[in-house]
Amino acid sequence: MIAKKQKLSSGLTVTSKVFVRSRNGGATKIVREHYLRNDIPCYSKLCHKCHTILKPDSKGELPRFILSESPTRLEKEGSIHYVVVDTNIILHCIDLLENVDCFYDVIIPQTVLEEVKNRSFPIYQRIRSLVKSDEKRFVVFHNEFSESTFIARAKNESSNDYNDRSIRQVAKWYAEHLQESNEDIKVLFITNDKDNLQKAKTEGIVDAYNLTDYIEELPNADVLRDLIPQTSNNESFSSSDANETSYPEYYSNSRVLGGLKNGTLYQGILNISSYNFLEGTVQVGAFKKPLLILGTKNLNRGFNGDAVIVELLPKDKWREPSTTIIEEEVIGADDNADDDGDEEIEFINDKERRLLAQEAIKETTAATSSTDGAHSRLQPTAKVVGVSRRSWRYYVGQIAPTSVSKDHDTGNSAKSCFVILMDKVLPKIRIRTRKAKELLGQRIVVAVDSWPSTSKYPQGHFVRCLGEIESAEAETEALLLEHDVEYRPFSKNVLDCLPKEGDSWVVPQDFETTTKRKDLRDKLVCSIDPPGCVDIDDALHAGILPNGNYEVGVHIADVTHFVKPNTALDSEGASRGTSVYLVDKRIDMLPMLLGTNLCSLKPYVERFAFSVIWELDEDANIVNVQYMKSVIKSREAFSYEKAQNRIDDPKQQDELTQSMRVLLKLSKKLKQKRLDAGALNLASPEVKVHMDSETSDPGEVEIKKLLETNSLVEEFMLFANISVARKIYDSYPQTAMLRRHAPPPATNFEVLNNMLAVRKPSMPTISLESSKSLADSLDRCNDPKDPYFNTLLRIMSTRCMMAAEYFPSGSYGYPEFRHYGLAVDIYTHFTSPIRRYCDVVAHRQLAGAIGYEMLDLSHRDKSKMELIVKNINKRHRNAQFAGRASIEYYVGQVMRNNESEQEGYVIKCFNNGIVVLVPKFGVEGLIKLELLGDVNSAEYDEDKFELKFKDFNNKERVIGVFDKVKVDVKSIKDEVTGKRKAQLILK
Amino acid sequence: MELYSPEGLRIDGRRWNELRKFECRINTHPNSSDGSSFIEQGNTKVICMVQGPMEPVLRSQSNPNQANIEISITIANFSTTERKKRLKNEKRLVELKATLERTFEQSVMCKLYPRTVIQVNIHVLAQDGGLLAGITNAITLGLIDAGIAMYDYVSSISAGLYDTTPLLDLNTLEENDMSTLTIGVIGKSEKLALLLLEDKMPLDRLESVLAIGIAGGHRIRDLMDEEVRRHGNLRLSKVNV
Amino acid sequence: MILSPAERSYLYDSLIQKPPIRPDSRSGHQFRPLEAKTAFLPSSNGSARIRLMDGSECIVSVKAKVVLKSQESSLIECDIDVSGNRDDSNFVSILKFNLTNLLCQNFPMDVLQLTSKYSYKLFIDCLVISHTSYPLTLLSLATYLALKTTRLPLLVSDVDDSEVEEQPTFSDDWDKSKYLKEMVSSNSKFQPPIFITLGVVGDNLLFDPSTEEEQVLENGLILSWYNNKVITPISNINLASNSNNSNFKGMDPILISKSLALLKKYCGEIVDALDGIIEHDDATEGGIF
Repeated sequence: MIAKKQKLSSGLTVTSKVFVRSRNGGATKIVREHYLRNDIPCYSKLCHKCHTILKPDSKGELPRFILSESPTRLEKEGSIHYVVVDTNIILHCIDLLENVDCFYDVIIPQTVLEEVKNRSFPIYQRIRSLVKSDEKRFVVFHNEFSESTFIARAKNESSNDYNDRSIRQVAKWYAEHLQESNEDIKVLFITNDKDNLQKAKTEGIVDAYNLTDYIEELPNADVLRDLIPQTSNNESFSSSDANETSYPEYYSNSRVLGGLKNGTLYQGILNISSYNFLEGTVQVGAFKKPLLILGTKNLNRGFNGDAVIVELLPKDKWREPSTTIIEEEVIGADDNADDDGDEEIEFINDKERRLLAQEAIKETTAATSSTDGAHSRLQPTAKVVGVSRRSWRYYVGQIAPTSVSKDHDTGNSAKSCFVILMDKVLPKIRIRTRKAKELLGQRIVVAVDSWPSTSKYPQGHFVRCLGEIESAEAETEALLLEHDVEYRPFSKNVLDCLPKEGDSWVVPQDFETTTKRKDLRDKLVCSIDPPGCVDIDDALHAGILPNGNYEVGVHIADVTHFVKPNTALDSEGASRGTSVYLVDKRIDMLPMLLGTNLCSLKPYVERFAFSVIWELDEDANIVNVQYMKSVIKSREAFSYEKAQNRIDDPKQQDELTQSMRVLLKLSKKLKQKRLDAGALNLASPEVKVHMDSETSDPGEVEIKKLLETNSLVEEFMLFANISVARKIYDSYPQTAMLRRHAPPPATNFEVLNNMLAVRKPSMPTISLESSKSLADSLDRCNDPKDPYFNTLLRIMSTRCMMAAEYFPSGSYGYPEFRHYGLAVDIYTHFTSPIRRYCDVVAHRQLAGAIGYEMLDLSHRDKSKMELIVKNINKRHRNAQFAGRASIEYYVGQVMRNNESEQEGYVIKCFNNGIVVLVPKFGVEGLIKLELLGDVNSAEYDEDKFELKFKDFNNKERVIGVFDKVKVDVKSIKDEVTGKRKAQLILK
Repeated sequence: MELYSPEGLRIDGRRWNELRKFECRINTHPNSSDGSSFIEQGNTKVICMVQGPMEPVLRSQSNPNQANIEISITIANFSTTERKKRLKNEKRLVELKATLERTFEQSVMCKLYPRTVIQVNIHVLAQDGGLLAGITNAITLGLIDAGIAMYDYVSSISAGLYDTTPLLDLNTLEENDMSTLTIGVIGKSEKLALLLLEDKMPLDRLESVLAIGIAGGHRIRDLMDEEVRRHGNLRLSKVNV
Repeated sequence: MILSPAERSYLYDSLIQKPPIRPDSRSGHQFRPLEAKTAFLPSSNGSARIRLMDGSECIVSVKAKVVLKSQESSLIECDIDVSGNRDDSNFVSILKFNLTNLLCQNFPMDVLQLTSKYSYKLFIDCLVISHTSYPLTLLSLATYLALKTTRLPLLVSDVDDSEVEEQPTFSDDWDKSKYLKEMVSSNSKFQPPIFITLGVVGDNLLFDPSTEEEQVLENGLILSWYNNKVITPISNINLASNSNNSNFKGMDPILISKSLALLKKYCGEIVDALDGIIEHDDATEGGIF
């Protein structure tokens, strides 16, 4: 709408934006004021004029000029240049924009930024951080608010056309504006839209390029050419790729919205089975059981983790969840990327059909043999009809050797090939590269660009190469990438926030007069940690008070003294959320200087600490508790073993050892109380990899062993966490940073209890009434002949539990704060601020609660706390997965040299394989039917969790869940995914 | 959308300390009221009509020492983007009314008009943030038009806090996302006749928000004064002829 | 203003003359001069304001909402707010009933149709800021103007959704929105109904009686005009709602047919005049006062 413009006395011009918002089926007329101004600078250091028009912000600071006075020169033209990009360039080529080899001095029109934000929030955030970091000299130019670049929407102009025109206007204005200051500068307009290019030319924008042409203009075009994403140029895939198959088109947006509203369509997160890549489930609120999605056609281009829209299939197509293992490599690994078109006219290829048929046979036999049981396991099936949010990110994989055709050596033109991803629930990705041959056998990073309905596989582009497969560096980087762990070194902005003294920082001597800290240097504080620990975040002391009670103190590294809110350091810590521990590497949440020195409660030096000091009676009841910021001086740093030895050694009678004995005594009482209340003792097969210190090759694998001193420290940390949780909840009832652990839903234990009832009838079932009864029933499940059975059961129970989560206290009612595993009513994390961000927040809140300093706004605001919590929950989970993956990798490396026969336990049974857990290595592996014996003789009894088959000696064997078996363990490299994993062979 | 971009621009293109378009007229309803005004603050539009000072209908309403100010507020169903039927006794409205009555009992020289009532009728035609500020300014102008003695202008404006940046004169989108402080400044002084904070604001930031609020209030006062003088001159020119 | 008995008698005597002598020297079929402004509420689909010289003023807004037809009893809803009167008072209820009834029964509802399941619903909100005479005509003329300037967003999704549920989606371009008159079938004209009030004194019929005239009328008639003809119902009413009118009495039925003839003669002009206001009203022109 062409609204009238009105000049105001303040120098602004006001007009209005009128548009229709159709949301939830409504059509609302929206009118917004829109102010135009003439004080928006061009941010170019070349410009002589814009310095006169600047206006300060509320802190009195003037905008800085970013665009360089000597930007890169174009290869052919020889002139210096800036670049204006359009929305699709950003959406599709964000990797290239972030690349350090190109795209400096980039102007992003506000119109583009807003479109990007509406289309993809993550990419918007990446652009914003590019702009913020200054390194690549990106600027946002608010063209819609500038009098010189604002244009009114023309009659009957679509909003896309209008936006394109606005963007062109920016390029035009910049070119003219800078021309006046420097004649050598060119402002290039980059778009891949042919129409837009054409219009630019007719409007007199001479320097309009598409991305490919632009890259060719750069001196380093050779390096960059392969990085151009596929969707960004039209001729990228040869016509033979098109129409190789056809997926059903997604429903239109209005149909999806209508369907969601009237309940015929559902929305949920697609979860592809890790045993069968043709089977996915979507949990939607409307049904108790998740919806099954079977086959590629129904999965309809959904990726694991996508938010999808699904529609139910008719009842006669409802199925039981499959009991077959199907991995993608079985089916399509040897496809040639360029000509798989011919036989794909029919949707299911033969291999898929056979597997599905096999499924169908099983289905029918199961239905006839068992009279009624089968039907109750029927699950509704559905098909994907839309994707509301893609989970696409960087993926790590390797080029499938078979997809690189022989004629690849001819010529320098780009050829299609497939990249098989490490994550086997994801399909392979088709990329185009000139370097396929060189990249064979390398771990590479790719990004997905699109998945047209005519293409059997998604299309993507090469991002970079990590190194040779199975090299420790490449694999470590791969798993960090796969788990979205930020591992780049800290930026200069972040490091600038550290104390200037660096390593020579010491506790200032005048702290008693300048701060409210308590002097606790006379207390006999010591720390107990794993051997070789350098980031010591906790220390303890104990003593006997004159009244016979005990004084116990827990001292935590005072990280928040160095990490102040609203600094670059703080936001980096907040976004990393946690340190990540890999077998051979630690990815720190905070820079080394803090973690291993300034904050670390090293012995013999004075350190700032946050202390919790209790007065406890003989039975470890709290008489009194105090919180304070303090200065301590640790007397000694023990390893668990050393501490244990010192306590156990009757000759040691010094004060420090005495106090440790007090701590041990009290910790046992605390532990007993906890167990009485119903705290769980669950197990996971934790192993530790010993590294050969010379070669840093992994040597052997060992199950972690626990000493009394381990639990000493653990008990007091739990104790401190609980006390702090109560205190901050008291002061900040809406925003206190807490941690909860929900009780497991009964359905999670259904299968396990079924297995127990069928396979081990003598065992009591696992009770879920409370954590206490669960703990008790687990205690009762003892097999006198096999002491490991109890541990096995605990491992399997752990997998049925809910994950604990961080939350701000306002999001749940008090009864739901409960931590099920620890059996306490309220809990938080306070004791490891060096490596967890939750603890940093808890520290700040506790400091606020005791009136030490004002609590920052962001920790008093519920919505901001929600954001923090969401991120750290995700980071915490990813860190755990990354840690496990790292162990898995190294265990694989260890076994490479140690082939051996081991004891294992069957924990799952399928109709074509079994899953065995080997406690010695903490590994579990799938043994497929082909490796067990005669495929055709196999019979699977679902009700008994048993698989009957003839082995290779033609001997009849029956194997069921919980059976103890002997297996040969060796490590093999999977040629398709390049992943090394444990191969188990049944003896 | 970015409420306040790193480049220092707000969602509608203003900077942190800029007012929206402020337009006002007095004597808009000469035939149906003793004093009237119409103000537009951004897209917020308010009509004010003043009757009185006059004899109250009921004896009980009269105060022998001073005038009673009665304010009734009608918020049109169509004033917001989504139409909403509003009840007269809605809690928010009753509170608004009480706040305004208290503000103007202090600002009008009520002692000059004992045993009378001053009836103020407010019609809110469109809302786009700063409702209380808009109504307050409209009443000030309406009372001036009615020739009722006041100590000085009460000019009102809202301000909020985005992170650490104070923002002046919030529109609806901004108001929905941050806590809002509305103040009524007396004349060119730094005295406040009205201060209302919805939600909460950290004490250590309040001063900066108040500071831009007061500066904004002074600018509003000047704009209102200009209109009063313009209208006064117009009347005067008619008398002289 | 309430008249004294002497004033009343004087006024009655002059009105009963042939032709009547009206205090503001209007002829019997003349309306009071009015001033109107349309499309001035930014967030409404249509709006109008009418002011009379005596300070009477009425603002009408039309807002459209997308609804499921099956869940609505009516596609038009009117709400009236008269300053100084309670919402549940008789006075307001009668006005509301009359206006709702008129519009619901005489409106080309098919212009609101979106799909087989969805339709627009119009919310007509009238705000009488001040009034002296009975405000029904004022209301109805303002409503006429508001409806004539009402624009509805353009539907871009499928019209047929009887088989598969689709949520309607609309073009975000307000310039693409359509006036109601553009949506009626080509051979008919979009002309919302209006009310005309007539005062009866003797056998004189007076258009648009003023508040003073109302106090001496022998009877009042409310007629409605739609599609170039008078439509039912025709009702009579004591227009002087807040003063007792001792002249009020029964009426000669012949006057009804006379009134029909009068409307036929003059209503076309009235409607044309209103349409003229819209044409000359520049929507982009500044403030409303």
